[in-house]
Amino acid sequence: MSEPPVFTPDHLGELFSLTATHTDALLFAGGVECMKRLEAGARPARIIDISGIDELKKISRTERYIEIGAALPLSHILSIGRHVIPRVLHDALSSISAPSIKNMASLGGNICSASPYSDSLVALFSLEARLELRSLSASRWISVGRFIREDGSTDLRPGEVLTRIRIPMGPWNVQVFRNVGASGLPTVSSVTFCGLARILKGVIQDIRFSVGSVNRRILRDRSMETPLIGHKIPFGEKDIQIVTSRLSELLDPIESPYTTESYRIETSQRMLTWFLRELGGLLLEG
Amino acid sequence: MKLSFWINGERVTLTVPPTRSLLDLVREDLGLTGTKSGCRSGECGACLVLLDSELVNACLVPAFRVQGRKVTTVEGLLKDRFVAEIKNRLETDGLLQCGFCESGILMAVAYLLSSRSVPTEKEIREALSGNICRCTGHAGLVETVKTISAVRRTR
Repeated sequence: MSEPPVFTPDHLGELFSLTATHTDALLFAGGVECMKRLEAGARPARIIDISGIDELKKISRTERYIEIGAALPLSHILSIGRHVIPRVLHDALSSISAPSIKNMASLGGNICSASPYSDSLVALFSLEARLELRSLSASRWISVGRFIREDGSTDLRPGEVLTRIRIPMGPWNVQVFRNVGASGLPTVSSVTFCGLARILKGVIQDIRFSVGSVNRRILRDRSMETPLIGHKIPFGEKDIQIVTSRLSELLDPIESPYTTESYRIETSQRMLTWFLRELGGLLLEG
Repeated sequence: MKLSFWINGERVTLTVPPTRSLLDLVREDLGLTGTKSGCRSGECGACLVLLDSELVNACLVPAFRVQGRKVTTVEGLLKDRFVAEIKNRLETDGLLQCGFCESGILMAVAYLLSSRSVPTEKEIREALSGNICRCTGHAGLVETVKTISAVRRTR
């Protein structure tokens, strides 16, 4: 079988020209998922290596948000520290595999792979990250929740490239990321949970939570969150029951080779219940 | 593609398919079999090498990413006296039985100690999190890495 030609653009203009012409090209950022595909026998028509484009490896921060270049390796993002990027994102990225993979994998690659097992996506869903998608002729921003569709596919159009991830800093005073690993598999979680809350004088101003590794797509649904806004903590058991019942309705586990459906449903419910019951203590932890 | 890069300090030039993995380059094309082929999907850590100064899984690096760069395999790393001492210590403590994971663990430990002279237990566990050892597990390795770093600190 013939080998695909490899293009190595060194600036965005050249990249967009290539993606406009070769809409079937496989984009290599970190290459972790791409190499697994090649190893499994995939043969793309052509490859575009985007790791040499400095514009895709920048990181900047304002008071309101942090912007991360899509091809920046995870280890570089983590190296800027837990106090600079949202803590849940830091914790999510830290939990992804080993140092060698973090040296290679990029946040953009993580997002575009749209895996239901992605730890970073669970945090990005709660944080309501926005994605910049650019092509030769256009540019648009889209929320990560809209970019990844219910069926697990993405809204990436022919010729488009994910270039930047914008993550609002948010005034959260509770930030929790937890994952329960699948036995014997260092890189796969059986359930992942991210919770955020803003609490003032004991009253919920805003609250968000996401569950990963269960449904086809990361599960976040505002209908679970809005009933809690304006309530005082600690929540009554009835409030918690309403939310966890809603979670049960929304959980639709995909088949997994790692853990059973019932285990993932029960673990998701336990994690959410724990988060809602322990908000006061988590607030004190900062 | 015509590929030129540095391997353990020596420049090599090969003609290879661009998507050939660095793992196959070092093992099959260059005969450096210290780097092991395990899962071929970045899970087991048997194929760890340094690309420039970064630890990477050779199975996940395509040839076109190696152009003009410096690759260090376990054979190159063992030229360093300190790394050779780490190897001896791991063997003396009975932590390497079948030996399949050995080169990957050596790469991971040396990479950790190159940036953290006295790592915490958490850092050691994180550094070894990508290395699967079916014979001895990680508990003894963690203690030995602590000892190695403590001994080095007293020198």
